[in-house]
Amino acid sequence: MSSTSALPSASPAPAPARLGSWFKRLGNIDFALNNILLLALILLCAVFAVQSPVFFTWSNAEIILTNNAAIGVLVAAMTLLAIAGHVDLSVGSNIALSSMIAALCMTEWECSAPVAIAAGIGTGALAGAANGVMCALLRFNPIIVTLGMLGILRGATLLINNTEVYGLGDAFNTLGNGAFLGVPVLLWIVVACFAASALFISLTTWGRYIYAIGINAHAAFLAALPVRALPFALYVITGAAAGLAGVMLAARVDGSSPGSMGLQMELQALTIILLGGVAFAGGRGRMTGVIIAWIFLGVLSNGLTLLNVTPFVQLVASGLALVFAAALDTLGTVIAPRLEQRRRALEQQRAQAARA
Amino acid sequence: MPFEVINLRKSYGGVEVLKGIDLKIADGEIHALLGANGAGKSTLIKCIAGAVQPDDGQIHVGRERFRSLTPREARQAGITVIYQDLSLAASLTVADNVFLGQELRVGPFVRRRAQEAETAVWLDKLGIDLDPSTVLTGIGHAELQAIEIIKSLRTRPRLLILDEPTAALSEREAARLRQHLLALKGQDLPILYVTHRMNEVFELADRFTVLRGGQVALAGEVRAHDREEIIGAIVGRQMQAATPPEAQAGVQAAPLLEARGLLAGGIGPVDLQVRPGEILGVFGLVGSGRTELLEALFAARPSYAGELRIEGRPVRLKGPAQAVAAGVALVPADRPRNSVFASLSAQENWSLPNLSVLGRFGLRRPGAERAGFDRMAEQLDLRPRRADLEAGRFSGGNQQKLVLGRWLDRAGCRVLLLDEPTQGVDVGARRDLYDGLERFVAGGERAAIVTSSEPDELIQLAHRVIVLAHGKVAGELRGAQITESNLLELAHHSPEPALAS
Repeated sequence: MSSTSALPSASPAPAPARLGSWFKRLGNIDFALNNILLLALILLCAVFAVQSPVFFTWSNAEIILTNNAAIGVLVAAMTLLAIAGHVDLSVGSNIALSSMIAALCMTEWECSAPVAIAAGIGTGALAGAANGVMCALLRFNPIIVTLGMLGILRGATLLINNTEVYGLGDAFNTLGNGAFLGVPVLLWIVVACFAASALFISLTTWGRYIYAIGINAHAAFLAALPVRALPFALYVITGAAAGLAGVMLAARVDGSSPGSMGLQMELQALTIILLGGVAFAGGRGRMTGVIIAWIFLGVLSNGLTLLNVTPFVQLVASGLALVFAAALDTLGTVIAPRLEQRRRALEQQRAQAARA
Repeated sequence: MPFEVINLRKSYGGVEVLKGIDLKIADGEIHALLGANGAGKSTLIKCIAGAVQPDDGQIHVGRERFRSLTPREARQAGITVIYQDLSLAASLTVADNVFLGQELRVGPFVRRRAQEAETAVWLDKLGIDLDPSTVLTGIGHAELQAIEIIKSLRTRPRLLILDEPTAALSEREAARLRQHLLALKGQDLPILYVTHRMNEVFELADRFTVLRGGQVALAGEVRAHDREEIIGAIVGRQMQAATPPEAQAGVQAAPLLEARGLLAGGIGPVDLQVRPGEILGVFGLVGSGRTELLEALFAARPSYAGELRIEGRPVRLKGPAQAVAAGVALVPADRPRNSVFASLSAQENWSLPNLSVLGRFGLRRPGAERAGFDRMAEQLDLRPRRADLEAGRFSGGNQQKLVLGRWLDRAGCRVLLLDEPTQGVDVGARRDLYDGLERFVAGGERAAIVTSSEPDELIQLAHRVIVLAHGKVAGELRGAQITESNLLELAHHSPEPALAS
């Protein structure tokens, strides 16, 4: 035993009291990283509540969440893709195409509402599968491929129908503006999607694989994990979520416009995911952080609207949020590990000094 | 301006690594530096290059005498080391690379024409048939090495050290590089040439020095010695450190895994078989194809030809997932890059490939995962025994336990492939890993293939060893034949083509 304790060990295990305080401090940096956004959200709410009398009401909260339900559904799926180290920038155009297909089903092709909804989701899933074949199976660069798809899908939408479509019927109106048990239908959907995604990550075996693939795809490959099939499935799921988001948006506004539907939603989604603490390179992230970021951005735009700030300032604010998210990403992937390394080295030095 | 090292000594923490080295290189001489792993070659080079300060002795470069050097002083004295991994920019031209950072300029403008003219002269001197304006992409490794050498020759060095320039080259490329190096003799420059390939010594070098155990074991004119003498000096007397394990009962049985004519990038064709209850060792020098062989068996590297049989049945594996399903698992070398997820917990690192087996219908079963982890931690004596601690905070040996442990208890895993399993692993953990591996094959139903660059490890562990050299099997040893000298001799005595001269 004395010989083993003389060996330099990577895991410092000196006096238990010191170990305890060490872990507490380690917890702090993670704690700060995970909760900086929650703190900002509370501050933001406080500011808006003081400035506007209608902000802090249940109906306003309902409006915020329901208005952002579609992007929430999208983000719930895309977070999984991002943790696996991939990205889909074509989702905004995918939303436009899917919502257009669903809208045309109702207005031109005389389908029933369930068929129209399925067609919208299916269109999104197909576009996601195209991304998946190229990015996950053939290993093209995801950023380049999905940027290309961003143009392709938007162009395809305009080619199919270059004018706005309105009047989708009662079923869509219920979906977009109705309520079930006093809660808007869209809110039910987004809550279900976040719950499904969170459970997928924590309860299924694939949830763990996502992290492993995002951290080190080569090591995951050598550990015989499904390094191609799983990201492919995630692209399809993200595409289907974009399709569902498209259907939800179409139902909300009772129509679809090929040029503006889903515009820049890929940037919004990315902002939420990165703000939520998911590493852009993959391998790190939690669903709770992403949900807080989703609420944060919703509150931000709602509050600015209530305060009668011009939409141009809102654009600047959402851009700033993305830049801030980049700072968070660096904090998490570069600075935090470096601080931890430094702390570990100091700890070891101290332990050695104590032994001498 | 000759180069000389006199009575150089260096100790690390009380262990003497260099015990008084004398070395003298004349101008225009290529001096081969030989020795097995751990003989002191790299420490000597580090002392000369200023990376490490010697405890005693002198270094003479031309008329200058040094007791020790800093890296900066070494550079100023004209000592240039060229390492295996090159520092060239692939998308630039030959001339651009030769002059990188030291461009010929008029004001802010690069004198491209003048650079290319001077590069052409150098290329001609080394007998390289290349246009200076060629972009490096698509140029062979031998020429890249030569370009790196030209780059350093331009700075007028007074000693050139080449650290295994041919280790990563194919046989044909190595021969081409040797032609270029012979032309270097005209430069009137002392050259220290580190190599593992014996034929290079005879083809290139004028004199040689063999290090063994931090001392000069043999030195002199290449012409005055033959191959056997030099190899004898490298290998030294036979080591009787460890006794080979007893052959297992199942060793006479039909092979569990068999490869015939296996051909893949970097190896082949290779024939091998491993029987139930057997630990097959694979020995070879750096670059001999150990890792490539295991990756090809595991289907992580595509094989172009050959047949693989498991329990006599031919199989076609299309990737690691199929290999694992067929009962073959790999513990790769280079943990941070290939096997350990440093930011995931110890339990997750252990359980990742086993989640699908432990879970049900794709859902995880935390209880089963925890029980499996505890069993593994108990068997391999994991320290600290903590499931939630990040894997990155464990020592190298305990990280390796997490990786090895993935497969030891897995039902259906019949053949375990281990690549350098004790790289960066301390002595205590080594014993635990060996015990785990021996238990794995003990039942006489499973087998393991272990690669190592340390002869001692294979002497202790393996029932039978195949020695690889240049991607081919150079020989096979079993039982008492597995000695350090036999292993090293086979690894050096490789099937090499006839000398070009």
